[in-house]
Amino acid sequence: EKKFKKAMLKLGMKPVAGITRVTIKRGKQFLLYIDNPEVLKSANVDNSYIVFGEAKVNDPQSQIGKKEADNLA
Amino acid sequence: KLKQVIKKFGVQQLGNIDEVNFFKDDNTIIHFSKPEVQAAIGSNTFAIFGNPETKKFQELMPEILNHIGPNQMSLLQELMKETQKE
Repeated sequence: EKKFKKAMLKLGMKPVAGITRVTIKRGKQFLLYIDNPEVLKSANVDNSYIVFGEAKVNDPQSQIGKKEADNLA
Repeated sequence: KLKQVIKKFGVQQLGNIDEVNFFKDDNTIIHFSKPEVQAAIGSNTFAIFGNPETKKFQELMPEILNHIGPNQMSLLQELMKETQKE
């Protein structure tokens, strides 16, 4: 990861501040999320981003269940 | 060029990604529809290629509710305030 970051910075990637969470969605059931990620953005083109951080899989169903549990508590 | 460098680090393509969202602390969301995503899970690294659009939380409701976590409570609070105004 560190080596990767170094290589990215060398390519002129710039850090993006203020990102609190990244989510990646595939289909209805599959959702990856990365909390407090480090995000780099390419300086010359606007469409390339690199995200560093631990990805977790989220099941939307269990997420809704958790919210309800929080409301009850 | 970026993709070439990434390749060296042993990334794999994640196919069929519907969307990627970046939640910002100013309560906006950088939203990518059908982006290309490459990942090196072992090194906790993801590369996203696509057209970013800046969206408001409200524009992505209600589906976006499934995407938020504890860090995004301020989004919900803002949403509730706006709803009360209306």
